[in-house]
Amino acid sequence: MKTEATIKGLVLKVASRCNLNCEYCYMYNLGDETYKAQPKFMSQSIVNNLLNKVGTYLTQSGSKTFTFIFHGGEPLLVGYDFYRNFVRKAKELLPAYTIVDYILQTNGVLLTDEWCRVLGSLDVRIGISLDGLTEVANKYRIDHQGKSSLMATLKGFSNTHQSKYLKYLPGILSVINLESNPAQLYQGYKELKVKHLNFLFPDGTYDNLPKGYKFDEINYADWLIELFDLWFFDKDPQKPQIGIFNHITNLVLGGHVKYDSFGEGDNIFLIIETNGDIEPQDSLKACGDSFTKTNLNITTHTLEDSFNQPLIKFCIDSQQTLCQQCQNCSVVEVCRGGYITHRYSRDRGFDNPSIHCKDFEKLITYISERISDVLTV
Amino acid sequence: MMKKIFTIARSDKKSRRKALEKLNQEGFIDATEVLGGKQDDGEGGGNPFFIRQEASNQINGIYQDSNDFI
Repeated sequence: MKTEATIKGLVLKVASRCNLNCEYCYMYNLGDETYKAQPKFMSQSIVNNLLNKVGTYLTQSGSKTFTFIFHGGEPLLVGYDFYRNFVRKAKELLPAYTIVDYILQTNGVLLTDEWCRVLGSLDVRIGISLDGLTEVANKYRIDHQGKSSLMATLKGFSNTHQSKYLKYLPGILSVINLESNPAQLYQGYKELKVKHLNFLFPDGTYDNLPKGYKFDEINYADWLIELFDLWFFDKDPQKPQIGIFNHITNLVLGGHVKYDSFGEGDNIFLIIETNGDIEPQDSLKACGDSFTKTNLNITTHTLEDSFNQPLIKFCIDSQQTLCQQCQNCSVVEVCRGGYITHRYSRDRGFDNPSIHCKDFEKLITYISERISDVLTV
Repeated sequence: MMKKIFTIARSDKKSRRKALEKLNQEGFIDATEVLGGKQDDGEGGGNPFFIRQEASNQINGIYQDSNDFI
């Protein structure tokens, strides 16, 4: 079947290294070592190449919108001028009618007021990775000396709130840590006036399970359900918006959600590695060393060439290629098999339910029931 | 026999709209956010968490299909 996808954006590995060494990071600590062969930072030559290719793609496809996600490694390691040059060059090379969104996902450690000024002036929106507001919650988010990153990240977050230059306040992206208390976490984020939050299931595969994961048991659903209740029944109009709950709610109510962890979307973001390599979903690095290598590079290939690359093609269609168990499941309409990486095993490839399947089933069923309760009163 | 969870059919836009309105009015959800987020509200509406896990609610709003409500 031909993949008919529209590329919505690129995730740019502008820095291949990170100032942190989070234990669960798929870039460095789940088996892939290809970062060692990457240049530390993306060169202006690669930037020019990729913007030329995006410009051609947008002209030919007729797409009016495009998103660049600056990612890494730690994207603030590249310095201010990288972003100034990138945005300037994008204005020069992309069709003038294109609505371009710039997003930067950072650990926040280097996020000074000056960074806020630079990113704000370029309309780059910021997301901060943070697993909660306590040392316990952030125990896996450590630097290369094994020291906590919490206080530095909170300082960075505080800088964004105090900055007069940012049009958009940052959202927080947290990996679920069962050792944190959902009630304290929720209250803490509320007190910080965080407006948007999302929670990720820890990455892993059948051969490389997340730390502390217990096979065939409920691992994360009870924690998420406790958080959901705190959130759903909190009638404060200023309460944080929690992405995973909003997405599930939308899907339960018959909506369309194009999200790579739930719903029916195509995985239509490509990764551009620091050296220009075009790759599929970067968390697939958790499947093994060099797993994401495609032999495609932005200097020698077009973006459309990637549609013919088997792994990229599979990723794009991943939520339509579910295993038999998923196809017969009561919550498949909502989860659509979950995040592709979590389906992988060496024996069966992606022909598995997610390692988080039992959690999805319990969480989605619970949310569906709570919604039904409200609607039937 | 597989147990079916409560969902509203994609085609049932009337029920969907009614459900969103009720949940929104009673303060359980912010329907606009559920549908993908507020565009450029200047108050931090939306965050950079889009179709990747770092997807933006507000950017989601650009790309989601048929989420007509408000």
